[in-house]
Amino acid sequence: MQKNILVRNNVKVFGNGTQPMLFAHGFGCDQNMWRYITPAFEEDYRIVLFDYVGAGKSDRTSYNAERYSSLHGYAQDVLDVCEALELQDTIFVGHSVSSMVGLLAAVEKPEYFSNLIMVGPSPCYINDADYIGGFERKDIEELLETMERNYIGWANFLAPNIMGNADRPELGQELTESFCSTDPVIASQFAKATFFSDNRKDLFKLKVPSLILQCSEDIIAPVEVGNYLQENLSNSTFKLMKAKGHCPHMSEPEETIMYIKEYLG
Amino acid sequence: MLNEFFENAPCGYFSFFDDGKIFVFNETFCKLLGYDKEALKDRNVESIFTLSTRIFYQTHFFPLVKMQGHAEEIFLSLLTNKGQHLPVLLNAKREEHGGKLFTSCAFITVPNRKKFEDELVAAKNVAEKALQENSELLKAKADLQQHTERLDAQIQLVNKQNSELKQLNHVVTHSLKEPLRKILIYSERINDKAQPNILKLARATKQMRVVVTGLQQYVWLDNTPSHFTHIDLNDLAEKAAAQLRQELNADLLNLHMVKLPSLEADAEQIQLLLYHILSNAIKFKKDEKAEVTITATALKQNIFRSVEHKYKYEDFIKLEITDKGIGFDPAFKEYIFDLFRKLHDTEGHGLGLALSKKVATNHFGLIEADSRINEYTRITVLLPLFQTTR
Repeated sequence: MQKNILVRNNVKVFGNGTQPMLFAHGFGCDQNMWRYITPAFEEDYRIVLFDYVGAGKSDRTSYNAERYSSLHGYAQDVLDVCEALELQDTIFVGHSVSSMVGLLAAVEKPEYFSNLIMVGPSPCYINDADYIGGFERKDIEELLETMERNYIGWANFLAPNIMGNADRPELGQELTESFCSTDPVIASQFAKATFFSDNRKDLFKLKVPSLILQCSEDIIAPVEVGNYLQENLSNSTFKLMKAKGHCPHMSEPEETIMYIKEYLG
Repeated sequence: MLNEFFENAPCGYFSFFDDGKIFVFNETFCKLLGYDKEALKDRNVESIFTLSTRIFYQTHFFPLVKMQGHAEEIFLSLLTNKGQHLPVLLNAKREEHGGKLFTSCAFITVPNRKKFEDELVAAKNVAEKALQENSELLKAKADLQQHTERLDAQIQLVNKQNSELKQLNHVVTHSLKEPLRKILIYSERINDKAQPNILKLARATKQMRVVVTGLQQYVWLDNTPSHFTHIDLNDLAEKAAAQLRQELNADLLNLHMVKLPSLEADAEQIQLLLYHILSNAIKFKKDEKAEVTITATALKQNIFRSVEHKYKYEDFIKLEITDKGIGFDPAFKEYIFDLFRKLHDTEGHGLGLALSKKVATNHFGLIEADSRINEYTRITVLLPLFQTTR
C-alpha cells in the first residue's frame, strides 16, 4: 500500500531537514513547477513533491473519474501521501487550486499539518451574488473549449522533445517529456473540478494557520478573492506580492521564497 | 528593408516579458488586432487574450514555455480592439535581450482550420463518448456480476451468523439470567457477610450480571432496527451526563461543548454511545472531575469503504470527544474497541467501547480512539449527516 502510493503519486523526497514541506502543484502542471522554489528550502526542510493522479508522471491507471470529479478526491491524494510517509508537522505549500485541496485535507486530518501556504488561492472562481470570484460560468465553459482545442496541439506536450533546450541545458530530457503533459480527458475533468468548486463554506473549519500569497493582476485569483479569504480564514496572514499573474513561483521565485521564509520565521 | 519584411510578414509577431508587458511586435500583429502601434506599447499581454485564453495562458502556456523554453502549435483566441475573437495557432520561444528574459511568439490566424477542427472535435467527442459508455458498460456489467456473487456469499454468511447470534441472545437473556438471579438471592441470604469468600462470591456475581446486561445491550443493538430522526447532540450529551450523575450519585463530570450540529441518527443509540464514552472519561479521570470537551466538524467522506475504486463523497459530522484523563498507550487504539477488552484494572468490563463501535457501525459511521498517556483520550466518531439515502 505504502509503496504503491509513492509510485502512484510519483512522490519525491529529498532535503536535509526533518520538518516536511509538502508541495502540491496546481491545475495544468506537475511537481516540476516547484523547481525554482525547493532549492531555497532543501537545507532546512524535508522536501516532499508529488503529482496528483492523472498529472505528470503519476500512475494514470489509478485515475478514477468518480474520485477526481471533486476536490475531495485530490485531497485524498494529499492525505494518502502524508499517511504513506507518516508526515507530521507538515508545512503544506499549494499552488492555485491546491490551496483549497490542502485546506480540505487539513480540515479532515489537522494532525498532519502545521501550516498551509496558499499561492494564488481561490475558494470559488465563479461570481455569486455579492461574491466576486472573477468568472462567469460561461467563461469556464469557454476555457474547457480552449483546452479541448489544444488536445490536437497537445501531441507536442506529450512527445519527448529534446531539441530547443540547447540554451537551457539544465532542463533535461526528463522534464521535457512530462511537463504539463496531461491526458486530455483527465485535464478537462480536473478543470471542471477546479473551476466549478466552491469551498467558501469550508473556510471557517480550518484550524491550521495559513499564509495567503496574493499576486498582483491575477485574473484567476483576483485581489478581491484574496481579501475574502483573509476575512474568512482565521489565523491567516495575507501578503500582496509584486509578482503579476498566477504563477509567482515561476515568474518571481525570489519574492515567493522571501515571503515563505519570512512567514516561517 | 529587412525590417519592412518583418513588419508586414504574413504572420503576427509579438513578445513579452515575464511580468506580461508587451515588448516587440510587428505591423501585421497590430493590423490583425485593429490597434495602433502606440496603443499596444507597454500594454499587458493578457489584455489581448480572451478570458479563456488568459486562464489557459496562466495554467498551461506560461508554465510550459517558462520550464521547457518553447511551445508549438498552441491554439489560442486573441481579442481584437473591437472585442472579436481571433483564433490563432502560435509557436513560442524563450529569448534573452539585455539580460532580461522574454517570450517570443509568432502566430498565424486559423479561421478555417477552426471550422474543420470544430467538426473534428465534435466527431471525436461523440466517438469518445460512445466508446467510453461502451467500455464503462462492459466493465460495470462484469463488476456487477462479481459484486452480486460476493454479496450473495456474504449474505449467506451473515444469515448464518445472525441465527447463531439469536441463539446466543436466548442463552444470555434466559438461560444465564435466571441462575444468576438465584445465585444473587441466595448469596444475599447467607448472613455471614464477614466471610471474605462470601463477599467475593457476591461481588463476582454482581460483576457477571453487569456483563450479561452489557451483552444483552450488544445483542439488542444488533437486532433492533435503528430509528433515525433529527437528533440534538447537545441534548443527548446532557442526558447521558445526567444519567451518569444519577447513577454515580455524584457530579464527577465537567462537560464543555458549543452548539453541535443536528444530524439524522438514532437518538437512543447515540445517547448510549455518549453515555459509555463519558462513563469512561469518569472512570479514567486524572483529577477530581473528568473534563470532557465535545466538538464537531462537518466534512465530506467517501461512503465506499469496502468496495474498491468507488467514490461518492457525502456529508459527515466528525465528533471529537476529548478528556484530560490518564489516557492509554496508543498502540492499543484498535484493540480497545473489541468486546471485553480492558487496559486498566478498574471496575470496567470492556463493553462500553465495543457498544459504541456497534452504534457507529449501525449508523454507517466510524469510531476511532487516540490518546497520550497522562494527557488526553480522544474518541472520534464519524457519522453521516443523513441516513435517508440508505
